[in-house]
Amino acid sequence: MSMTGICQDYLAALKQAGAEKAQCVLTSSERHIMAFEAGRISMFRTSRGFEAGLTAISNGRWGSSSSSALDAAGIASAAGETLSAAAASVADPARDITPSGPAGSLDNGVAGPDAGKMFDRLAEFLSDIKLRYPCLKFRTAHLSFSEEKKVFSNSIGLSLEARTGLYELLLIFCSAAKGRTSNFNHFIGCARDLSKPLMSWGGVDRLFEQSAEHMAARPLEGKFHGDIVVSPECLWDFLSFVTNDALRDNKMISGMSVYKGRIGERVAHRDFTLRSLPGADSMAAAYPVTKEGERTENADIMECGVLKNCLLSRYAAAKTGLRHVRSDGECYVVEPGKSELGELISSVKKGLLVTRFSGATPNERGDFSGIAKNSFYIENGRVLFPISETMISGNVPEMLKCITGISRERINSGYSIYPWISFSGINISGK
Amino acid sequence: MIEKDLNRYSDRLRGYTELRLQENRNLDITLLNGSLVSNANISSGGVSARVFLNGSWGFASSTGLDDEAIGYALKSALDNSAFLDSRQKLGQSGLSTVRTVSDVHLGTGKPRRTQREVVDFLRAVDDYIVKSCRNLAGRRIWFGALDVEKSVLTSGGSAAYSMIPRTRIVLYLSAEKNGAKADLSKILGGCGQFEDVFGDTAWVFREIDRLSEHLAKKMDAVAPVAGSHECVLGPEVCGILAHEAVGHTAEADNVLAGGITKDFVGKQVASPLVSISDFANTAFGSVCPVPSYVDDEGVKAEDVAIIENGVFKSYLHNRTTAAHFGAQPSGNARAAEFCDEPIIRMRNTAILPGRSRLQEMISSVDKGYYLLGTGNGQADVTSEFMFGIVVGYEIKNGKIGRAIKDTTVSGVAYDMLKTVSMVSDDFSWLNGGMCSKLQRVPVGMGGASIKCRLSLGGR
Repeated sequence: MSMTGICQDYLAALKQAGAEKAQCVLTSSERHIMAFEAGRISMFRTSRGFEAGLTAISNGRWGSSSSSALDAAGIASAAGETLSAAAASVADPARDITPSGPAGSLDNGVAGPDAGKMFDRLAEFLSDIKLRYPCLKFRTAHLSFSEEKKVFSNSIGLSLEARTGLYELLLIFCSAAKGRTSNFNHFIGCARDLSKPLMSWGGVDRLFEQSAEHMAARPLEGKFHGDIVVSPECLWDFLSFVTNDALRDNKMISGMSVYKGRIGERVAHRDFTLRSLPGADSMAAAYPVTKEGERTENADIMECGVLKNCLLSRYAAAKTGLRHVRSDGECYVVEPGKSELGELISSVKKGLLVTRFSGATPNERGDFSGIAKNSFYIENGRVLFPISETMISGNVPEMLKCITGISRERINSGYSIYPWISFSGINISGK
Repeated sequence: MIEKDLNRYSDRLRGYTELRLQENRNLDITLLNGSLVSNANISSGGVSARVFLNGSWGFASSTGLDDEAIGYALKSALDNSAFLDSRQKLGQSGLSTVRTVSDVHLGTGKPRRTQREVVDFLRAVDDYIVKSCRNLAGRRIWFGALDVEKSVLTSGGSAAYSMIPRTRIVLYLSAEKNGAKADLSKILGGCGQFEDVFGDTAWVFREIDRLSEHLAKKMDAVAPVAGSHECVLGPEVCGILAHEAVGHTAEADNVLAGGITKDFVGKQVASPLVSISDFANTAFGSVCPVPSYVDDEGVKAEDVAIIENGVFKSYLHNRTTAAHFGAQPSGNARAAEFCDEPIIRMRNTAILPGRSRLQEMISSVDKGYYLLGTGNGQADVTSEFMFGIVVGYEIKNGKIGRAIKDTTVSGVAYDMLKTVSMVSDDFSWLNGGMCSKLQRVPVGMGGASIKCRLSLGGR
């Protein structure tokens, strides 16, 4: 049976079970993964999945469940569970299913997988590593192709289909030789095809080089206030406080967000612009439809330092009275600055080049502290040596106000496009 | 319920093959400031097969537990291993066979509560928080009940069935007074279904009282002084230390990936007061928070002494790494979901009790910190670790002083463990741990309290 037909069966079962409003999101997925270690491909893995996400509203009460049933009895049982969940709930007028829009079928146009090509690209990558980075060790590494088809349908006319495909490279690695070991670093990037060698994806080559240098890391002495230059791969560790926490449902509904009531206000340096672009061609991970079943829109989050939008679900928007943007987030882009990376570094009197941050989840105010891993000491504008056992602490919202430079160069990982950014006023403490 | 006995598929397993049927059933409920913001039954069930052919692994999985899905998984796994073998021609010999038979069901024997009754229970918890917590500014209660049911059959003849439940509540509280803010969280619960874990509210209310007390003190918290300090770490912090900073470095796949413990076996790596074990299913006469009886490679789960009296004893193995190191597999190969392949994981990792009294340990510190509650933690292949600290106090002249603001502790585990000068004689588990090494799986972490030197982040 077609996915649309299965969707209709689920909707009919939900109505039969007593739903006044019902929604079904069917997802069919396939993933092909080649896992590799230094020197060889260790596993070829194929996964196929199917899931029906069900929502029902009855007497103003809302419930949801998931099921992988395809037979009538299984579908009826899943519908019954959804209505039981609704019965256990409390009435909430902010809850609703997704309004209908123009019906359609959207596709990001990525074909695959090509297992032979995946193997060949990996063989080339491993041979390049053997030659150039003989000390490199992988804890986890894989190249995968994922395909997902979704059908969104509900009792008030929603009817939308979406298909996405994507190649992804995931690497967790360190360098080890002669009794010296660097800390792990990682890379995750994606692409629409395998036309380019894996070594040229995002910042892979530079990260391998830094990993090798880090076998000679040494502790930094003392404690000082300084600047940090944060690499594109590490920027997410700080920005995620904004994009995945402070501007999201939980913090906005509970009223505990540091950005509560601040839409339209300047909350960051005027040179800082952050957007979520799920519809951008430049982004391999672009997605045409949100998890709620709406055609996506690109969203400005902060523009020239001014807070423009939160990233709220339709429910959270109804609860808080704030605008709902049709974006699940991700596909983040920070606009480039005017300086070269070299200029950012040369303007640091005493500080760090931070390429990985291992820290505790920031608290509600955005205070953070943690270890600057795979990082380097900068003094008088020069990168001097790789460091270990060095902690940094600060506050994310304050950091965003204390930007001292944004690089012209940016790295497109397929999931995000980020520059290097330098921040002042960070507490740095060595051993 | 999934099919318990998979032996009828045994003649379809070619060469070295594992077949696993698994269903994870999750009830997920969240109350945010009293509003029900999530209320879902989520189940994911399916089949996977893994085939080892001359050194190349093939793996495949499919949703569904029927014959078609099982046939797809077995055929695709075999095809995948054959594809790799045809390209790589590694020519490795097969893995050794072990045969284990097991049947464990830890579900409740009591009548099951309805979802409505669970929501009512959570509302009672929410009401108690509102009534008892001073200066409350926000609260969130997350409830998660996970039942993991699986059957494993291997070509070597292992046949294992298990249903292991875990039920947890995570409380997040925020308080505000005269512009000062503080927040705290606490995980409650452990092994068992709702009826066995949260049978009454009294103990939950006692935990809320304790949490409120810490939160009230945290409103007047001071920033800790950054740098190295003498510290007493409570069981929760010791549990995360045992898991993150020691346990991960003992995982044999991490050792092969360049880990610092490569030449550690048999060496003194910590103070003689320190012993750390990864328990399979039972410790100190009781069932552990995340019991495992047979792993997903069909190997009997055994306890592993990682460090004994400061001497590094053993790694955690799956079949492949055990063969590499010439060791016995320890039953540490676990998969999170049906679609995941088994990888080396900890089960219940803990610092074992010593002989000191906690009060003596605190009294012996002139100037330092007592660290009790953790946020997240991470450690590296070098054993450099960091943990968030969300509950901590100053110690001055042997007495507990002011609360400290959220901070992070860090160090190199095998340096820090040499500074351990006292270990308490008590022990407790942190029941709600999760480990995120590629696949998120439940883990148990626990410990005694220890006195050591540690670096704190701060001003």
